[in-house]
Amino acid sequence: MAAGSVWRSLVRGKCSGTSRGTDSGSVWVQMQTVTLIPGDGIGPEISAAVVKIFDAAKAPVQWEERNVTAIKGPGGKWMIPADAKESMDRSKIGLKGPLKTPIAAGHPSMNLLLRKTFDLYANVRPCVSIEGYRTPYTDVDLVTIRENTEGEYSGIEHVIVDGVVQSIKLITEDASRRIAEYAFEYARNNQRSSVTAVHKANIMRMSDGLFLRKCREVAENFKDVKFTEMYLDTVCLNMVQDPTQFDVLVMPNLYGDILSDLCAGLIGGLGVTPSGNIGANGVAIFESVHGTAPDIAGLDLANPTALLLSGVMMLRHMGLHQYAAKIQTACFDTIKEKKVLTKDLGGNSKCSEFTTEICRRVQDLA
Amino acid sequence: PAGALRSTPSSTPGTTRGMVQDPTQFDVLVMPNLYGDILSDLCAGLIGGLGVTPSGNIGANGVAIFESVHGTAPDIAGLDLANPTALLLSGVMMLRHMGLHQYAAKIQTACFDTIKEKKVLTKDLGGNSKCSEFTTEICRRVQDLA
Repeated sequence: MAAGSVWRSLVRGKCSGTSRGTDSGSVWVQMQTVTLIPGDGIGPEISAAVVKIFDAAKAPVQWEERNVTAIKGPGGKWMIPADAKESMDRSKIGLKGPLKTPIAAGHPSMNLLLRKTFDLYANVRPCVSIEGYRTPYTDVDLVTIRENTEGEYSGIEHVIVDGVVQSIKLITEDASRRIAEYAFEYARNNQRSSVTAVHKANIMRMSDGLFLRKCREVAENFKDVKFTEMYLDTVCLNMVQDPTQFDVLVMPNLYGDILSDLCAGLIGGLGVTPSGNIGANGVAIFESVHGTAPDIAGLDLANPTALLLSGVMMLRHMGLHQYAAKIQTACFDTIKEKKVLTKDLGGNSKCSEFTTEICRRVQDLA
Repeated sequence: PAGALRSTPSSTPGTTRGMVQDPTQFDVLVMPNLYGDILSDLCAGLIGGLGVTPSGNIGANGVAIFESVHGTAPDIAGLDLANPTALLLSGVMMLRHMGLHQYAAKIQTACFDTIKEKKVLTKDLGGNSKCSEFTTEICRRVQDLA
């Protein structure tokens, strides 16, 4: 996995002090540091669940817990706490629970702040149907890859005259090329057969046209991956009729925002959907994308599946495929078995009971 | 999903997610151009695609144009194989716009009953009848409903 090996070579260069390893049979496996951001609301309890499950799997991960809030720096600029940034810059890998954004005026969105801090340019959501958690859609197995820095969310708006507002959709060659390259590399490294560029270049000829052109150019360097193009509205029309026709989808910001949520809905919602954000300098932050659920926080009712599957995604990114498979299987089997399920999955077990059950299966799979 | 996620979403991403999980939570949705392009196609997909979806365009000076939104299907043109449902339901929408509700109801019922009965269906609806046969069947029912 190209992204994983880039990460590994960066860590080897910067790694200091974590020379402890775990003895996995006769193989010495290097412990790797991951910055854990539990988040707010149910964040701490689902993070604790994930840590417990990783521990049961003996995954060679050393957690470094940090809090992320928006603080005002010396120049009045919003930033994340220095120790959180330092940890992420060093570990390069983060696992994050949900963060609340305070309603206070002028307070930036936490996700936006993280995105800007680490130049998280690709938002990746694999959507796989979970056997045992039935939705009207079966056999879904696709990945949405969303350009996350520009496009319709550039934040460039202005008033022309009273009652007339313009919003600028910014598409650049560099960002388009970068996301296309990521998408094709992802497809290659994860044995996916095709990449589909989702666009509306028929209407937005220059902006989406540029995006599409870059995708086509990059496709030339990845002849082992099939490249197709489809209009966004056609994708939506077809997605709800037969999602199995889709594989890897790459698209600009707004379309990605919409499609990634749509696809999360296909497999059961944000409570079971993993997500990863890839940054420019080898940084990657994996996160659950549901809310903080303050109404059930601290009541041992939360479902840790989304964060756990994000952790699994993280393990794959780190090249730790064996551990990823083990944990994913334990999680899916638990859900399939239907004996120990959290409330949102249709059961009445506690978060801790669900977690214990997954741990038990993980240890059996060892 | 955890805790607070069951409130009906209003953002476009949340709405698409809500649509595929439970479309019955939605009623009338109004939105700007691009979101409408996306959502109208998504919702057409929910009920079976562009072959069965009606559409209307309202103009500023009282003009209204109703239309089927599928393509021209050149491969089956002139072969008496097409499904007229989308255009017919657009016509029904048009009758309602004109205040001719009784006629609209009659034609819609005849169309839906024909499809429900499953005896005379065009190929795209799962049958092997001709367009003319499907049409004749609806006409028969319409006359019975008179």
